[in-house]
Amino acid sequence: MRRILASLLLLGLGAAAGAQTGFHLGGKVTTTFGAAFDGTIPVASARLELHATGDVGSGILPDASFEAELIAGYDGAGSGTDVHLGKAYATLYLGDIDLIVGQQIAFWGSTDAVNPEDVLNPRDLRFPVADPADQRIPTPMIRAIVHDRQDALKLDLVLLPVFRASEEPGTAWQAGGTISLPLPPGVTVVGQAPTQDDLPAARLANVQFGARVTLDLDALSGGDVSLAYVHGIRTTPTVSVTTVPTSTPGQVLVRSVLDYDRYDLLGADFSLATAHAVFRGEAAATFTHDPDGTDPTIGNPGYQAVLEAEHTFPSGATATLEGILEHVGADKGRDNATTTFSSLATIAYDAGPRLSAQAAWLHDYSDGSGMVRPGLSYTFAGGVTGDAELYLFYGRDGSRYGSWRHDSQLRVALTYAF
Amino acid sequence: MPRHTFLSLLAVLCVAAGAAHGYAQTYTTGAAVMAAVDARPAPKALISTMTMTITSRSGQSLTRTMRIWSADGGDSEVVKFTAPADIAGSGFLSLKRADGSTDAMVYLPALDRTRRIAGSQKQQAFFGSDFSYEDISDLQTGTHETYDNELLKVDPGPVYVVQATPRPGTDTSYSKLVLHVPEATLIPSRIEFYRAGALLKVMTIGKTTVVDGYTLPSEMRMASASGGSTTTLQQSDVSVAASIPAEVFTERFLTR
Repeated sequence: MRRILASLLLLGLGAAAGAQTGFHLGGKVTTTFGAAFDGTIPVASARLELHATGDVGSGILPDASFEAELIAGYDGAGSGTDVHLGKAYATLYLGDIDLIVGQQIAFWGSTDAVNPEDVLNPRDLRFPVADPADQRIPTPMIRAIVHDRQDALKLDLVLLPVFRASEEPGTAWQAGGTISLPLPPGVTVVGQAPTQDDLPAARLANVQFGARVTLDLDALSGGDVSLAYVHGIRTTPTVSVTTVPTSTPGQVLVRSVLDYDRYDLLGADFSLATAHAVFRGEAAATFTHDPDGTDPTIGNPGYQAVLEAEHTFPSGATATLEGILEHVGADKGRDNATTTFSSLATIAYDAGPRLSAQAAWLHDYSDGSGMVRPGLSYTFAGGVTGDAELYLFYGRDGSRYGSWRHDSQLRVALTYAF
Repeated sequence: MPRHTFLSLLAVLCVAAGAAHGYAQTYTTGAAVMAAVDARPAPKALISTMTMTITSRSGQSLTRTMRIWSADGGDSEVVKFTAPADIAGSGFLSLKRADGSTDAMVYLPALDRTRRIAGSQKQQAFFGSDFSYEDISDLQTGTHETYDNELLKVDPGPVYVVQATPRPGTDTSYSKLVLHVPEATLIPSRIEFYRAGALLKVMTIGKTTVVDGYTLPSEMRMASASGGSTTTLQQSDVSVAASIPAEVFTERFLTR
C-alpha cells in the first residue's frame, strides 16, 4: 500500500517532487462521409480526439503513466453533436504488477474480428459492422496485471464497479422481428407503452469481475494459451414484451422491456506461430441464470468458438481464414435452439509505403447471407491518411445480413493525426 | 576442377591481385573475413533513435521516427515508433531463442493488442519500408556463424566480397547474402540480399559513427533491386549500455 501511495504521489506531484516527467499532447481529426445504396447519407461527420499521455519516472521503465482522451463529434446525418470523455486512466507500475485505474479498454482474446472472450467493454453498435476495435467503449475499471519476471505467465484481474450498456444499432440496422405475446380471450392491444429499460443499478450485487491467465509457450515460433472467467452483465439487452392495462377493461398496451442478463463466462484462447502461418483460436461458453430457458427476460446459455489461420504469401499479401461456430440454447419446451456456422476471409496487401488494400468476406452458412467489404487506405503525408470502404450485404429478407441489403454503403474518411 | 580447389585458386588470385594493387590483405577466406566481422568490438546493449525515410520512385518521401533498444548483440530487440502520430506507439519485439529461431510480435495501439508473427511474415515490409521485419531484427546482429562464407573476390581497399549462404536450419528467408567488407572498418559497406537466387534488394551503409569507442553504422540505405522505393535509416542519440533490463524485452514493455 505504501508503494501505491508513493506512486500516486509521483504521478500527481511528479514535477514538484523532482521526478522526471514526460507529457505529450496529440490528437486526431477525422471527417467521414457515407452514401448508402438506398439514397440516404448514413454518416456525414467530423470528429476531434485530443489525447494527453504522460509518465513519471527516471528510468527506462516509468513509475506511473496516464492517458486521457476528450472526444468531440458532429454528425449531420445522425446523432448530432456529442462531447465525451474517452479513455481516462492512470497506470501504476508496482514491480511486477501494473495497476490500472479509470475509464479504459481491456481486450481479451486472440482471434481477429470475432472474439467470444472480449466482453468487458460495452460497444458502440450504431454502425454495427464497424471494426470491433473502433466499437469498444472505454468503461470504468480497476485492473491489475501481474507479470512474472520471465514474461512467461500473466494474470489479468479486472473489476467493473458500474455497469454501462452498449449503444444500440441505429434504426436502419434494427431487425424487424416480432415477439409473440399470448393474450387472454377478449383482450386487445390498443397501443404501445414507452420502453422499460431495466439498467442494472450501481450496487454491490451488480459489480462485474473477471480473471484471465496467460501462459507463454516456448513452442515453434512462439505461442501462448489463456483461460478466462468473467462474472458479468450482458451489455446488450434481452428484449421481452409485456402488457400494460389501460383504463378500459379488455384493452392493453404492449411494452418492450430491456433486461441485461447476469452471466458467467468461461473462455479459452491460444495463438501459435509456425514457420508459415499463425494459428489462433478462441472459445467461450456463457451460462445465464436461466439454464432451462424458462424466463423470457433472460437470454439462454450458449457458446461461441472461433478458429483462425493466417498466412503471408511471398507477394506480401496476408490472408486470414476464420471459422465461427455459435450456439444458443432453446427455450424450455421448444425446439428453437440455434446453431450457426460462419466464415470470415480477409486479405490485406501493402502496395508500397502509402497504399494498402484490404478485403473481407463474411458469410453465414445457415441462411446464405453475408457481407463483402473491400477497402483502400492511402497515406498522403506523415499523419494524413485517407480511407475508402465499401460495405455490400447480400442474402434474402429476414436473413442475418440480407436484412441490411439496403444499408449497403460506401464510406470515405480523411484523418489527420497530430 | 573440384570446387574447393577452384576456391583456393580464386583466393590465391585475389591475394595476388591485392598485392598487385599495393594494399595489404589480412584475410584469405570468407570464413576468416566474417569471423573478423563477428569479432569486431560491439556493444552488448544499445539504445538509439532511428529516423526512417521512405522515398518512392517518384521522389515523394515519408519520414518515421522510432526508438530502438537492442541487447545481446542484437538478439533481443524492441522498436517503438514515436512519430508521426498515426503510427506512434506501434512497436515490434524480436527475441532470438537458443535454437536459432526468432520469436516476434507486433503491437498496434489502434487494435490495443499484440500479434505474433509467423516465420514467413518476417519477410513482410516493416511498416511500409524497404526493410523487412527480418532485416530490422538482424540489424544489430553481427553473427554469421550459421552461414557458409565464401570469398568471391577482393576489391581495392581491400574490400572483401563474401558470399554468405545460410546453412540448413538458419532462421532466414534469404537464399544468400553478398557482403562487401572493407578491411579498415570490418563493417559491411554493402549487402546484397538474394531470394531464390534472384537479387531482391541492396543495403548500403553510408556513414558510421564512433560511440564510446565502438564504430557503429549511422546511416543505412535499402533499395529494392527492381528500382522502386528506397528507405534510409539514420541512427542518432546512440547510447551504449552495459546491459538493458530484461523487462524491456517483454510484451509488457512493448505495449506501454
